[in-house]
Amino acid sequence: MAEIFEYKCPCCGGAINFDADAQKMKCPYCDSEFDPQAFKAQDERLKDQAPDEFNWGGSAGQEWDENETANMNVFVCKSCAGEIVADENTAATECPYCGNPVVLSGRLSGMLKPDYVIPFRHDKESAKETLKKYVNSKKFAPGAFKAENKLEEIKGLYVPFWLFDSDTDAAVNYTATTIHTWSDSEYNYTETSYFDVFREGSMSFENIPVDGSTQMPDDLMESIEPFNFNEAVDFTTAYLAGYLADKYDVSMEDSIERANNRVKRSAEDVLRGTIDFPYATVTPKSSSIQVQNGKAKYALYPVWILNTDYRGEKYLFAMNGQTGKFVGNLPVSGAKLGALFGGLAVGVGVIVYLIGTLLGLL
Amino acid sequence: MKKVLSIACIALILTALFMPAVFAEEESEYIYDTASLLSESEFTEVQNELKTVSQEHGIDVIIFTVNDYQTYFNENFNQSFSTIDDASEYVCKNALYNENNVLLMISMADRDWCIASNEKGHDAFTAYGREYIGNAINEDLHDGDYDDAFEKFAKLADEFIDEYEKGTPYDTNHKKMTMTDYLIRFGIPIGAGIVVGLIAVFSVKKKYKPVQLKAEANDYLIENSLQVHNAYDRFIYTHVSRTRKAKQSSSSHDSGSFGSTSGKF
Repeated sequence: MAEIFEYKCPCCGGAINFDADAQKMKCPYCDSEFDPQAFKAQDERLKDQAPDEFNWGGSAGQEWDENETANMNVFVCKSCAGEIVADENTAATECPYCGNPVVLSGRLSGMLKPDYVIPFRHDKESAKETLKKYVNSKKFAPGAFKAENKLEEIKGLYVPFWLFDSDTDAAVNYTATTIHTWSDSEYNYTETSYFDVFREGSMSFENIPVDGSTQMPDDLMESIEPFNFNEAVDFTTAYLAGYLADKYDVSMEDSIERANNRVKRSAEDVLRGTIDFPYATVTPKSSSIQVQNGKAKYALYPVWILNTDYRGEKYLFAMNGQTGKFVGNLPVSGAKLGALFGGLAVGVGVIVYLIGTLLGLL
Repeated sequence: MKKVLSIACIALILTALFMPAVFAEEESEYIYDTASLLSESEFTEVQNELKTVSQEHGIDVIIFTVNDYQTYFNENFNQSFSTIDDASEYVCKNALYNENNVLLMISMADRDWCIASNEKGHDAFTAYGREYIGNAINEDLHDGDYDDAFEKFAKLADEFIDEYEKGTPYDTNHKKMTMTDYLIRFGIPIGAGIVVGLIAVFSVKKKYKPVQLKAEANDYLIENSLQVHNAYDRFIYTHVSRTRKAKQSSSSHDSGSFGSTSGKF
């Protein structure tokens, strides 16, 4: 059974959030600050507390169909008693009536509990400002996009990630070539020498993140990498206060393949870097990658998600809530691209013509 | 000694008298087809074209074909030449009615061609011009289309002399432009501009779509964790390819008021 946590200020009783700037729980009413880890004990205590139980007789309304309620749950806000409707993967949200941040702790306990969480270091204003700078810095975005682009939604979201550690043994065969050219009075010669280059070695990777949420596009999540795991702390629900949080819906087993693909490519690249001889070309021919001592951790990483609307089309942006790295695809102005193409084509054409004429080549 | 000198003088006088007579007596002849490369009708046609050009400009435009220039000049002029250029120079300077001339000599034995120009002809046909015309007729000569080659020679000679008479003969600093030349002159700059423009456009488009899956996990490699256990580089084999160098198809020589350019077809 999912349960709502609201963190109340011990001083004034107001609902408190995790503050990204202070890296502490902060009361917006009396400005008191608290260490998030201090709330860990409170979480433990509440876990053992018997749930409230009220039995009311009578019947009103109709029964929900099973299909209607399968992916939807209703919670009651402890501050204002408003009803909060959330889908099955929502673990933290805010009350739509009083705006108080709430954590749906039961949503996290039904599956694996996160091992770690990286707290937000960038707040909502920072995300908005970064979006503005990002869009304005793109000279080839349509002018109307900058003017008419409306920020529809911005949400700070803890995204579930599987973090994989591994010791990797790799053996890679490369085909390498050297090229030597010379000429005599009759012919130009090209001598291509072929080499079988072999490298075998071991290396270790840690905390390779794989997006554990189907709601977050994988390419968007990987584009805001890397996250600095050194700033990760033991998970406690206090960090979720004031943000949204999803629980994983892609299992660790299903995420391994993505991590393996990245490890394989990196192992080939890393071993290739040990080839000192200046070959003209080095091409991987075959490789054997063995992953040993693979371990996985479950963590929540901070991400700001921004939705904008431009002439009926949605644009999705993401900002790494820890490092501030911002990405998102943007439309390109056809007119500006045309001007760039025309300007370069004419400019380069004139320069080539002048140089060619001066050198007597044209 | 006197006897030797006398014989030499007589031989010189006879040669001097005999040589100009071959062509001078045929003042109205502009083609000497001793190798019989043209039919009678073709000969007449080419002859008329050369005559028209020559008389219009006052520079003789001559075509001279032989089976083998060395044998021909040895037998007919008692002259020995090691190159077709020397033979052409001899003809231009000594055997033609008009010293202002341009000559196309064809020698079939080694498939040599030579364009030689003398006096005003040399002013009108620079090394660039002779090479240009040689290249223009080379394919027809190679294919055995002598009629076409000679007509082309007459036509180009007319154009080159026209340009000379306008004050600036065709030369390296005043090239005669063909359609191919125009394509190279304007096509290359336009092509370069389009390629650079397209590269820039695709580069911008890619830059505006930065959302991509990561191919590798290099950010998560533990520092100094790499240990290489086995490594070797073994030579397998070598392959050598060769391409023949492009050869200069013709060579030019200029000296004073005479110049010649020769090649093979």
